[in-house]
Amino acid sequence: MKIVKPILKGVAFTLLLSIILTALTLIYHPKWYNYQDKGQPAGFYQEPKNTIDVLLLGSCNMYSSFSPVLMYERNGITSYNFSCPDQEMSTTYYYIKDALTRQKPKVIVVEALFLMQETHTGNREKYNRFALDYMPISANKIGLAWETARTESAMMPQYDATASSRALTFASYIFPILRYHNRTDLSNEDVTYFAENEFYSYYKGGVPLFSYTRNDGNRTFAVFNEKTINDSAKKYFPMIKELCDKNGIALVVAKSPNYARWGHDDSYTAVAREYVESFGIPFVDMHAPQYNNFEDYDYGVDINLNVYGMRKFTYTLADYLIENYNLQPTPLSEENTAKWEESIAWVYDRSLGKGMDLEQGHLAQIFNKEDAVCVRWNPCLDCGEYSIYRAEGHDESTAVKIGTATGETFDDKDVTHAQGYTYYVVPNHGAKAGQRSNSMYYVFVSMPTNVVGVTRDDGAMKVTWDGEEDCYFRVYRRYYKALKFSAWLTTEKHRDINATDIKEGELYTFRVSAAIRDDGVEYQSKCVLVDILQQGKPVITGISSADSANTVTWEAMKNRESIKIYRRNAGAEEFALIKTIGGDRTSFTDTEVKPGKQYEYFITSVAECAGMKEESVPSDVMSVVTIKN
Amino acid sequence: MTFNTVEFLAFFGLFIVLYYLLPVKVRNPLLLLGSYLFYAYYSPILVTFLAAVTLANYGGALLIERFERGSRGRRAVLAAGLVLDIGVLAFYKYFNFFSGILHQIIGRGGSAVTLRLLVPLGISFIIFSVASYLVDVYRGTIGAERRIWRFALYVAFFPKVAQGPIERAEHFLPQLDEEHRFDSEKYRTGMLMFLFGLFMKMVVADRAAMIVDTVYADLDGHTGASVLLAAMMFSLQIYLDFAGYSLMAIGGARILGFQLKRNFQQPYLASTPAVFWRRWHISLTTWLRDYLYIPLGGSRCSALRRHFNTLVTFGLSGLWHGANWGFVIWGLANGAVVAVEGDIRKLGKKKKGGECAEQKASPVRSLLLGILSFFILTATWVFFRAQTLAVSLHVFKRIFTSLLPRTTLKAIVAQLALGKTGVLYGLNVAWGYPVLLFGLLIVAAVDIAMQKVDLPQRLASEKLTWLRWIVYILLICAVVLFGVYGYGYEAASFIYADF
Repeated sequence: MKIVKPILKGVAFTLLLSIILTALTLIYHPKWYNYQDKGQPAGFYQEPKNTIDVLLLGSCNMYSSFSPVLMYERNGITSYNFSCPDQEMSTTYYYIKDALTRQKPKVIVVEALFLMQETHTGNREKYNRFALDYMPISANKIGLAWETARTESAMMPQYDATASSRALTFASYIFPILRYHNRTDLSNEDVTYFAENEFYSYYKGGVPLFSYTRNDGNRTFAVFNEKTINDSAKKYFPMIKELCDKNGIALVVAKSPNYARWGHDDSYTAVAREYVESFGIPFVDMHAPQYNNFEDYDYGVDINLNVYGMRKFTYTLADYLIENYNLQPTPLSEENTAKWEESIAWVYDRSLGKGMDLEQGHLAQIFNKEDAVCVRWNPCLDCGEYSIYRAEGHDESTAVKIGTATGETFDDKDVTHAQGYTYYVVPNHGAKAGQRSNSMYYVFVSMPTNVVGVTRDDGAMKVTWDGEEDCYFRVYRRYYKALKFSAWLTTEKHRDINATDIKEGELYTFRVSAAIRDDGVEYQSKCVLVDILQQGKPVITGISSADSANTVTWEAMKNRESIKIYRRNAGAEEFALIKTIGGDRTSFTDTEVKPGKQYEYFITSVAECAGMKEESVPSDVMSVVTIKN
Repeated sequence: MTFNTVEFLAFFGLFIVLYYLLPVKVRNPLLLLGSYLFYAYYSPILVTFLAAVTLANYGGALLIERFERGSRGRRAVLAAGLVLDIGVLAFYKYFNFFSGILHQIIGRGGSAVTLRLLVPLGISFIIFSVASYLVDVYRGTIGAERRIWRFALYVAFFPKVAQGPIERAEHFLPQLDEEHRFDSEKYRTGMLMFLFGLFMKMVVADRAAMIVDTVYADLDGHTGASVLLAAMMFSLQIYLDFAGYSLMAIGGARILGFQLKRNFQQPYLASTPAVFWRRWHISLTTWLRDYLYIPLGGSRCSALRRHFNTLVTFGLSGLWHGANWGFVIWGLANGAVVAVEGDIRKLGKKKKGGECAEQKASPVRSLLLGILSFFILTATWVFFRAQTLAVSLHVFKRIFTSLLPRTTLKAIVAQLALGKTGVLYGLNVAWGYPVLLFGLLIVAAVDIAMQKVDLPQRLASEKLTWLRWIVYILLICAVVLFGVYGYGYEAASFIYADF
């Protein structure tokens, strides 16, 4: 009995302390997590139990691609997009484990990207926190936190990887106050945030992008350099399969379209497909022609699908799942049905608010292609043909029919630079037959031409182009590891980037488009892309001779794969490559020379970055006469 | 694992639960197991070192007792034991230091022979503990411990093995006979001490360290006044760090029902350096007094011999702290100060007819003496922090040749004016300094109060449960929120930039 009172007191004290620390955690937690605009694992836990028939997991490749709301609207099947940024397979595994404690999905769809992708180490902690911070405490969260702490400190060189730091990292995933206690930017909002915001996800985890890109495909994106299944996938994918088998759940791997190399390079897809199919699991490449044809306008500004691409992906994947897994509309309670209806209204309202209406038969987008104005509309499900009308200028009454199209786009090639046009479409069949859509005005702008990107001798980069005189130009630059482009506006036909603002020996992508203002609105041409693998001219700092050998020295260069040394013997016409050495070297001694003879040398550097490999311009030529002693 | 780590707190929390849940007779073996696990966490292989030292000294003490008191054999065994103990310490800790000195003396080219060894955790504390045990057995102060597991626990007891206090066997071993049933008062006292020690270390000491490290890393980039501030801050840092850790050790032991000797007694409230040294790292200073200073002759000898004894004791104390000249000079400097103070005191006694100057000092005089004492000690701490003579001299040079107080003040004011974005000596102006200053005030207030009353004991009273809970919560929240641990937080790195 003597021990009982202290135990009770201990319990009471622990409860009190827990309440206080929880309140402090809620205050200190950074409020960068906007539930309705980003990946929303937190919202999953608000869904009523055993009401989700399809669970989807993955990275942004999944949550930007699949909308549970649009699938419910069309097919009446409930799902949840339980994805988050850069979701590794370990997270996918523990998420599924946790999900199965409250849901009984018939099908689980895992997006394929993180079978192979390695994450930017600089962003790893941020994405881990996204994944874990709002997961309720459970054995699965502890398991994921343990795995996360183990791998995080090993992969991030800026953090020491001692056992002590791993223990602290692990503890901080269970008790986030241990991570965020250093915050000095607290505000009143921090105190009221959780009282004023809800975790509920109207999007049901699928977060549309309201933008579109004007780029060519094949953008460099070097998050994985080797075409192999990554270590996390090798460990956890079999465990995911086992988990699904044990629970009688069908597992599907889907590859979502992605504007980076992963999306367009089939050699990457082949590796992932082979791996997945070796487990007897279907691999559905949604980029493959038999499923869909995703165009430029289906993508947002960066690499993922926008809301239109999302709708295409959602409907196609939904059809695949219904056909192959006999999915039926999910019976729901009245209350839950009302919630889903509310979500549908939210998605449509939100889209409209962002200027991207999802209404069928509605003119959705117009943008410039290389030699055409592309008109796009939201297709009506029961109509296979549309008539397109165009007027020059703003007067719709002068519009004439310029063509018909099946599908949802029409390229108007009969256009003149700097001329504005008004378009509308009319469905020829179905419920909306004869009803013209809204109209949209657009100005065709010709693309810049002769876009060239080079590294200057001093290491700075320069992009030049030609273009129409009445245009100004938008230049965008992206460092290959960055997520966004930085942008400039200029009327000049070149752009110089200072050497101090760039990383040596690494890859940059430039995007140049022409633009015109018409009545206060800017219209851009299609962009032209150019990659520059930055390499300034190597600088030889010295050349000397002694002991029948010549030594060349040069300024250190960063991020070079190798240095090539070229030599020309006196009297010879051509230089020959005599040696290739490591890129971190700053000198080379040539012993294959004869005393008394003159030799000339120059060097080049070779950089490799994100799959691109280039040899630099040569250095200046230096000569030396070989001395015996 | 140090006390201020997640893994230790988890280990200790679980250990306490297990300790009190298991039957009484299992507790000591559990403590021994826990202590060895604690040591193994540092380095599994060095557990063999701990075991070897334990066995050697256990056997050595038994062997000593086999010989008659005063016999040659008894002396020889003691000598052999001490040579072995000190030899092991010297080998691990001082080989490279003395090798460097030898190399300089011999003057040949090349470099000194150095060994890259993993120094056993707490080696200085362990060796001093077992050496004192051997001497005490030799002197007959205590009998040799016959049960090896009890001796092993004395050596390895995890609250004290890493950083002391240096516990005497005669004080510790009898406690192993107690049942250590759960005692609420001991638990509460221990918890208060542990938490306050954690606060001292993590909130105040580690924050002060940021200032010290910033200035010392770039002495030429700071004015003399800044360097002086950093030097003074180090005086506080070393106290907060060490005393905080000791408090955690003592508190942790108390939670388990053990009493360890107090190691610090508000040393900066002392009015003179000599008094300071009676209050600072008490377990070490008493060890040195009992096993070195007094055997050398202590103060009962000529003035010259007394000074010699003092210098040797302090010099070796410096060397004990670390294997470089900075520590040795620090020790010798303090020895010199204490020796000179002794002479002044003697002179004062002669003049005032034998009355002790300190006892008669007025509060104002005590305060002024205390301030002077602080500056004298700060000057000696410079050698401790700088660790080399060259850097120490550099510090003094900056202070005395480039003080620039007005420039310093302007720079401080300019940073203060920046508010949230201001950074002064590596510490944020809006958050770091208020926490530091408030922390220092709290520690000072507690130290002052502790001169009159045993605060943890008082707060442990059943009647003060709510006050005690408030103190617990405030200390825990202070450590969690303001402790210096983990990675820095930068909002930009967490703002989601569209994946």
